[in-house]
Amino acid sequence: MLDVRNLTKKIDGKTIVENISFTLNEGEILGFVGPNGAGKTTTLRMLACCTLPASGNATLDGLDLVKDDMQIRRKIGYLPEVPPLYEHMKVVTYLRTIARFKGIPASEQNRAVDEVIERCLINKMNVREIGKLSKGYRQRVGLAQAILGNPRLLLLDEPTSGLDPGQISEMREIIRSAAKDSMVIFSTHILQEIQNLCHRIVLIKNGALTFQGRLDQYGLADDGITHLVLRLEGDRNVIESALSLEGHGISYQLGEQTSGSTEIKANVQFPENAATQTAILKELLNQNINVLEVSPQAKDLEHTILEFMRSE
Amino acid sequence: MLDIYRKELFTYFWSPIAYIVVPVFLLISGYFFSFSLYYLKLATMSNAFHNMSILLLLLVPVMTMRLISEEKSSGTLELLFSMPVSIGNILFGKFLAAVSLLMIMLAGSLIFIIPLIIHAEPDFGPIWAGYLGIFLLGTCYISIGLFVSSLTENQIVAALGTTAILILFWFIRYIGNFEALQFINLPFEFISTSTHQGDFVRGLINFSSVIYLLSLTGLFYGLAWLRVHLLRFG
Repeated sequence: MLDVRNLTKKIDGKTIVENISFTLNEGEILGFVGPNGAGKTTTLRMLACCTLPASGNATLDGLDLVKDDMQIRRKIGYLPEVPPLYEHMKVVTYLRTIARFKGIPASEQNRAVDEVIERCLINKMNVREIGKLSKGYRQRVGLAQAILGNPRLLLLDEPTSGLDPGQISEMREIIRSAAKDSMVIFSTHILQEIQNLCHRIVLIKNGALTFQGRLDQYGLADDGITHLVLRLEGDRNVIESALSLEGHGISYQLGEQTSGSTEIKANVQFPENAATQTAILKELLNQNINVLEVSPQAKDLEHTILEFMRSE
Repeated sequence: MLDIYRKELFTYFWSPIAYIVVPVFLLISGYFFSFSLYYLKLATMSNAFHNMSILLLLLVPVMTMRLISEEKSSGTLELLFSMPVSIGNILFGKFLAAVSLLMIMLAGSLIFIIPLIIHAEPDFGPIWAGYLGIFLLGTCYISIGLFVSSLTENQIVAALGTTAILILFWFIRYIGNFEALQFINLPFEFISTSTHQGDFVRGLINFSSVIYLLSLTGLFYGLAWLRVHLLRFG
């Protein structure tokens, strides 16, 4: 278990991270979210023993981040935003070098390296020089060095940035499989990653933690508007006139009608007023429009987080 | 420490550095040695040692420029910080790899002794003293290069900075040649590496010179350690 308590970092008198506290349990994937310059990377660097905290502390399985740092380092895998690679080495040479640095016993090094090569899908590239690899493969080699030796805690700084959708999906699978052995913290700008991968999120802004919790706990203050998705069947103009019924203050967007079908999807924002919803639905039925489905539109995480980032 | 040493040595021999530095050192010092032996008819190594000292002023910065600056610029220094390798081990592994390359260069130059044996009866005492001097001077240069490399992410800046400091230490004793500065001649003469190297070239193992060169090596090695340690506060 990782227990972070009031971690603070100052550089040149300026507070970069202030009093960040959170915990991470077995088998959990924690997402670090926040705008650029929020302190995500600095927090990860502190946990990776790359930089010392000004105050506060963290313990990993009871080991102290500052006092027992050599033991902690044996238990972590770290992938910075730019993968730290020795360009002139072949992939396999690089990973063997890292295995030695990590103190993996000589008898297990080859097996451990072969295993991560397999897991990170870099078999075809293992005798290629790292400097000649594409961005996607460089990222995978970076991830391979991080998961080498099955660390207890895996720290990944924007592991999917700059990758194409196929690579992102592969990377996601690798991270998910790594989470079977390790606790994972990763920061990302790609918000779908959070929805797809994380069990919990920590939101950081201006160096301070503003929210932490399970994804399903997260909600914004009520803005007084109900978002519904309607699946309707009927004439487009009739639907538009029904939705535009005066005096109710609703707004809507109609989806494109697929050819050969009379079905239309409408995203409708109602004021928080049950009477309005009833009136509109009645009007649709009166106009002989079939209402196939009415469902609440979940506010997606991306929208929520963007609002959080924009807010002061 | 051995893992870092191994990786650094691999890097020297993977990159063109070793293949440039070693032959350049042997060719140029060999040229001056032959000139002194066959043209000036001097059957000693003294001139060769003096020329080697000057050559190292230019070659050691090339050997040390990337030691830390490259790790900083590629982000691998952070990676090393996150792994169970102490700063002491990182630095000593790197230092030892550069010293090994120096030893390869000096070992290559042992071939100069063969024509000496053929044409004269060399006194081996001054030769070994000269080798000790050049080795101590080389390690001292390496520790200065290691320190300067820790100050920057740019390898060219590291090489030029190291050259500047090495040249300063080599020539600083001549500052006393200015009449107005003669009263401070002695300290400048003492801190100049060329003063101490002069004794070894003449075949003298001067205890104070050995201590001085070792101390200068230790000082810059310590500064490099402090500098890398401070990086963890940034």
